Amino acid sequence: MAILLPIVGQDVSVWGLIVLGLVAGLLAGFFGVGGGFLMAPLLNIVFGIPYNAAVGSDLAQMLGMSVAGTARHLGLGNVDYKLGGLMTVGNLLSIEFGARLVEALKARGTMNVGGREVHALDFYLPLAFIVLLFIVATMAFRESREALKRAPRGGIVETEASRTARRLSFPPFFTSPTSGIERLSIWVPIGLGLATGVLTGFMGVGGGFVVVPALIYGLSIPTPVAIGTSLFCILFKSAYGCFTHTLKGNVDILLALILLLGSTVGAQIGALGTRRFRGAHIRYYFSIVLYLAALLVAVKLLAKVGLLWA
Amino acid sequence: MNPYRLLLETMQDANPSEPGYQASWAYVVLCLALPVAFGLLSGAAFKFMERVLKRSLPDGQH
Repeated sequence: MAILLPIVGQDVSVWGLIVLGLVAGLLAGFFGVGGGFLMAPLLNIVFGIPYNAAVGSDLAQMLGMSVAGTARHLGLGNVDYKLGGLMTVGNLLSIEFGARLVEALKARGTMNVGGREVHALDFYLPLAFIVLLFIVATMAFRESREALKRAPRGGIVETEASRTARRLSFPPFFTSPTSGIERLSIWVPIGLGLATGVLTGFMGVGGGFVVVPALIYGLSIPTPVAIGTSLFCILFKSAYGCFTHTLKGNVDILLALILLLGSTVGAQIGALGTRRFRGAHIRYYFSIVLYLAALLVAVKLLAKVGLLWA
Repeated sequence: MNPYRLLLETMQDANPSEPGYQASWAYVVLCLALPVAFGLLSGAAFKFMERVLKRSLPDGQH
């Protein structure tokens, strides 16, 4: 069954989109992240949806997913409002910058890459995805292998980075019993929010796959609180990202709603799967998924610039 | 009134093909309200299903 997406202006298979939503939701629920890092590239690669519409519609889809997820974590007491609020301040300051980057690339039109005319957005955005996916995959792969050797199940992970972050003496400071933070400069979460906000505006990703490890290893926050707080931030940044991308004509709400049908169900099934695996095992599999996603985007990009098949 | 047709009409108003186009406010509100409503409804539905399953299965079987 095909449906015409009015904003995108092309016919797509409804069942195909539901299955994509289901797969992304399954991965998101299983790995405790938003799944946005896979959705935008797959919408472009599998369905040929332009990157600007894929990013914008993915943010609308992510808004629905994060509302359901945050409500659940609020009930469990896993959300640190102080930490999440400070990160959100950073997010909101930088999302617009990322969204304007998309607009600037859209306005730039085509460019010559290896003798071929390629749209600037179709070149730089996948390139950014490849770099980001590769870096995070390598971090997750190394860390999970180490953790499988030594770490106990769950709990707080003390690292040199977390000790250094807590020693930073740039006032003002805050405390938070929910996360076990006795004294931390407010500039640490704001800085983290600034960095991930650009990713949200530019690439349509919630940044959970960066924020959750950063909170666990960089600030020694307990894993459930890191996941709940990250989702709380994703709710606000996806709402703002969706708002600004809608104004710019990049959101196809019909596409977002069809994806949501699959992703909400997939996320619940994925979350059930986490009960059967150790955290480090999950992160190890997660790194493999990220490597595969990076490879997929790289193959598509190389084909586009004529370095693989036409 | 057909809600699907109404949705399509709002979206066509928001067609971004014109240079310098800005989406209508009705479409912006729709893009924020629909995902939030969907998230709240699906969250409540899954919670309800979980409660029903917990009640129907004795301890240790769920």
